[in-house]
Amino acid sequence: MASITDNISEGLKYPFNDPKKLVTFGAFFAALNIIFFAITELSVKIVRVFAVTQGNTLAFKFSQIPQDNVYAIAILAIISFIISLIIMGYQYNVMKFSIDEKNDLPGFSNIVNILINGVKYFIVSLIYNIIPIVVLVCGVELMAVQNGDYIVSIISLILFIICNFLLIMGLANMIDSDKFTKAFDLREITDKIANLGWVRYVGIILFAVIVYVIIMICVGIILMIISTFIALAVNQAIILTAIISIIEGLFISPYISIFFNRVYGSIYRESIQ
Amino acid sequence: MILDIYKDSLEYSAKDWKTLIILGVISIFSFLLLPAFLITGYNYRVINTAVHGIINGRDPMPEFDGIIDMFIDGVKIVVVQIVYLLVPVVIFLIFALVASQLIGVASTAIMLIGSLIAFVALVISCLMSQMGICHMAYNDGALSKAFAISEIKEVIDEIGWFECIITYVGLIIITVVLSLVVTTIIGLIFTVFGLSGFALGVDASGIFALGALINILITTFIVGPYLSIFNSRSIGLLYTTQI
Repeated sequence: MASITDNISEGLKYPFNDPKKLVTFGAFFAALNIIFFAITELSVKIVRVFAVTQGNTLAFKFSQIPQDNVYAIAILAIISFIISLIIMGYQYNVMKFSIDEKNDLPGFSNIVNILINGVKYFIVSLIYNIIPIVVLVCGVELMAVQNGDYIVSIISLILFIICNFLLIMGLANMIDSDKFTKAFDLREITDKIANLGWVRYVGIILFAVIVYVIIMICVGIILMIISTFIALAVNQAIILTAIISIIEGLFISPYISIFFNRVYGSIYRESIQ
Repeated sequence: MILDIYKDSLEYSAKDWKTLIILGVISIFSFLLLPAFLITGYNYRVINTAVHGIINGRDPMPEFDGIIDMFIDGVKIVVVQIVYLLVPVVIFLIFALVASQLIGVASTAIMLIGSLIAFVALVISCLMSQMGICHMAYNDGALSKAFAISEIKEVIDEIGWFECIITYVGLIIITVVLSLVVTTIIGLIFTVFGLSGFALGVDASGIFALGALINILITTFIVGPYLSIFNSRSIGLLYTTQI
């Protein structure tokens, strides 16, 4: 391959190989969007209870929260978590197909396998992000105590960036070897990145992010125009939001997610050559 | 040599008017941001054809296929240009920061020197970025080659710094003159129409509006794309004049 940016254009073309699976994958995103929409709607009612009972004790506030809403939110949260696991599992499979240089999109027939892979993907992402999250929480606490102390928060931001750069390689390393512990073999991960070249590695990911930003701005403008027309037709904010989030979930989110994971996989493929 | 480049580029850009129209249509949708990168991507293809061709060769116009590749190439070009443009901007900002700390004559003097250095850096970085893009195209689109400063410097040394700058100044002059001449001619024609209509006692504002509209249409659909292809081709050909 002549240039590493070829991986990016290959990643952009890849989802078009099987539009049916792309939209099937998009159905999960659309469901997730709708569930988040419902959760927001329900939690507004709970916040309203807190606002109305201002000045009362905390126990009284909690007693005033409508029970049905809490249960509904809990159930919706569990469902959305399971859907997220399926999405992550599919991303896992996309990365695996990318590392194996397969040109078709992974299927949905083995849903148990997808769920297991999703759990792996989720746990690895969580563990990589624990340190920055802890530092961030400390930073926010410190900022509350000592006004204007941003240094710890900035450190946590840098940690987030570093950890996520390592996370990409860690995930790919785990997926390739099919061993969970390989995701945390930092020596092997840094060796592989060094093999590719750190500048190239960071550059290719930055390039992917730039491409992502441009696509999202373009999509945003187009969706804005579409929503203007829908608003003229239905004149209801809630329907408008639902339609836009379904469109966004069905076509845009799956495309972007498959694009990124395809690129991550191909970066890993380049690094082990 | 330079005149040959201009002659070839002027002829080359006029080869296919359909391409110009397509580019014009794309540029209308540039407010969506993504099509703007398609135009730069197409210009990259023109450069790519030029650096692999020869002056006065029979190179065909690039095709409009592989939209995604075109888009990626466009993004690459913009990234290269922004990175090179950052150098003079940073230099200027540093001097401005220093100058804002001082007072009186020292501040003005620092600002003046800073502006001068920033301007020189701007000229050099523009030259380097254009040559970097050509160098990238020559090396099969490897983004790292666009920042291989020493290799690009060697290329410019072989062409000659003076010749490069002269070519660029010529390009700017040709671009400005061509667009000015076209708009002036159309403007003049419609002024004559309008004045004669006015003399005959007709309301002439419609004619002036039509003139302005035609001017805009010709600029977006013909002159703009023509000049952009012309510039890309010239820069690409300039790269090939290295020994």
